[in-house]
Amino acid sequence: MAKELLEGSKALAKSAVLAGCRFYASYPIQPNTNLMEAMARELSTAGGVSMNAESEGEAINMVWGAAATGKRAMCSTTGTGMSLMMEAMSEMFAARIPYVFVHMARGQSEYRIGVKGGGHGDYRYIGYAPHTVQEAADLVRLAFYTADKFQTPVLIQADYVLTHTVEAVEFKPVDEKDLKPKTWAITGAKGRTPQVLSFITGVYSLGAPRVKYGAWMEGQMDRIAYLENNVPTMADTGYTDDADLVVIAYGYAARFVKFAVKQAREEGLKIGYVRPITIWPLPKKEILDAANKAKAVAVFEMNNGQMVDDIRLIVLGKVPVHFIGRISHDESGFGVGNAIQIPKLLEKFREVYKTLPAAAHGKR
Amino acid sequence: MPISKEELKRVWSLPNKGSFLQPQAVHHMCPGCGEPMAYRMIAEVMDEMNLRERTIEVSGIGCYMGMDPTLNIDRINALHGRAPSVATGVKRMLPGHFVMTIQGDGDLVSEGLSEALHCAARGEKFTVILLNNTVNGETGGHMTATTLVGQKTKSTLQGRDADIHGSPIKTAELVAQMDGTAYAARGSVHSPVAIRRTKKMIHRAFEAQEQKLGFSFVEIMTMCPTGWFMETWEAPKYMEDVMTKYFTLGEYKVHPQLAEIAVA
Repeated sequence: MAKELLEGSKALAKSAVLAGCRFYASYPIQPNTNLMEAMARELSTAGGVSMNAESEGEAINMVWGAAATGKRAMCSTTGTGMSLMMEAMSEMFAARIPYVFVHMARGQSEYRIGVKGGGHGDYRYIGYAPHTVQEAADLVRLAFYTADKFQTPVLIQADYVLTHTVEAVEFKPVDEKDLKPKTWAITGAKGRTPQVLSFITGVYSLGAPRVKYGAWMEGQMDRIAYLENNVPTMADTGYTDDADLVVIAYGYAARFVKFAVKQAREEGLKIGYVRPITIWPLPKKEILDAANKAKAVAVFEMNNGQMVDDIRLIVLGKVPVHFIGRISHDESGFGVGNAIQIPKLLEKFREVYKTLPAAAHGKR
Repeated sequence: MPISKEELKRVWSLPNKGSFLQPQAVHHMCPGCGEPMAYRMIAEVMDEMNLRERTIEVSGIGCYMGMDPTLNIDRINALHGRAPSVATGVKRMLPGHFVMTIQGDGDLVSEGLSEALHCAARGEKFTVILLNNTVNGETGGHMTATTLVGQKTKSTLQGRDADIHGSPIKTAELVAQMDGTAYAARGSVHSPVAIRRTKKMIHRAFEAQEQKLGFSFVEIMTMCPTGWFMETWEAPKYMEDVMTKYFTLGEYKVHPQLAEIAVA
């Protein structure tokens, strides 16, 4: 397929519809609105349904219903909207409803509620964090496949910069031959025993003995561990072989970090980077490999330190982990302010670099 | 009289003949509860209209969840108050199916009124059944948005005071005002006459969905002697004398195309 020049939100919408998404619901909120407009356009020609819901709570519950019928469905919003959707997001994991949730963040302040979940109970969303328009298109396609494969919700952690960036993009299909038929879907009890899709005890057939709540919850705990160990993780790494300092960043912030690392290399600083593409589960192996070779790790994210907690748990004190991020803000409040300027980033890199043991300063 | 173990065993071993009512139609509702009668009517109307294999029920959160396994249909459990939104997603994806929600007054009127009203305004082509017993029965008898002024609950010990707690909401009348509504009515299960009338209301509501006329809504007043703190035999009389004086029974909106189905 030929490449097209598309805005991030439009590429994301097109990719979702190509992946077979036929239901989308959302409530207008910037910077999610562009995706909402694009989905309305795409689904009107694809024969799907795009709902401008009356509230965030309604939007996510509509997606719940649509996805429960076995159709591919997508929901999206911004951080504030996500807070309002938490109740359903939590229980949709419990009910094992596969769907894709696109979080069009204003900055990166919602790593925690996206990855850890802000709703009640124990749950995890498989998380992908694209940093280019092409990657966003690829990951959305992959997200629908992963959701169906593991029968679980998948989160795309996108952002304001990605939404508005225009880049050349190519839509590539994903091999979905190994997906099983959705026997769990609620489609009316024609020719089979009726079944119930419950967030309390999952899917059960009325003909079979009821699963006890306690046993079901035990299974849920095992399921989180299963996903953590079996969902393929992805990472983008650079200059980590001889790096004394490894900078870790995800999403649009990583795009700036990658550029700044290249500049630092020109200055002679031995800095590398690891960019987690799957933010849950995190690419532990790549992070640990890079950390083991380095003298220190620095985490750059556009918040007051959220992913840094997880990185510390992975590195487990083998090398110091520094937090060098900051909430970035401009007049618009969307998080593209001065904290993310390359000279400032380089300044932060140098500060951490100074703290490394003397051997690191070019004498090795 | 309690059912003996032998009798239960016999009932459970009956073959499932494809009827809406499950042979395991044993529930654990309190004595005197009106909800089983509402479920019985819903099941009967569905059998009469031969809807079983096309039906998807979205249930809310309340006592009536314990009644759900008695229905021989596919079902989705929704969160408290959110069933109409879930049903929207289901019906939009499977427009040929028969979709209904069963919700209580705590679920629909207190927690999820906006969802229900927006669905009515959008003219969503599914049916909402509201089982209104004016208390949060499952939590143990607390005030809901439909509790009558003066009615004692565990959270309004001196009786609901309009100055402090506000006044009850008449949902059927509210839904009837929406342009997308094809049918809105309020029935009750306190007497044989009321039951027969309510069954016809359910019939009309389901017909409204089948004919794709718009949103259909039936509010069914059910007795809750446990939540009303009275004896089981006093509850139907209280319903007749007090409750239906405020929550007037009747049809509030009937689409012209539904007129041929007579209601006694």
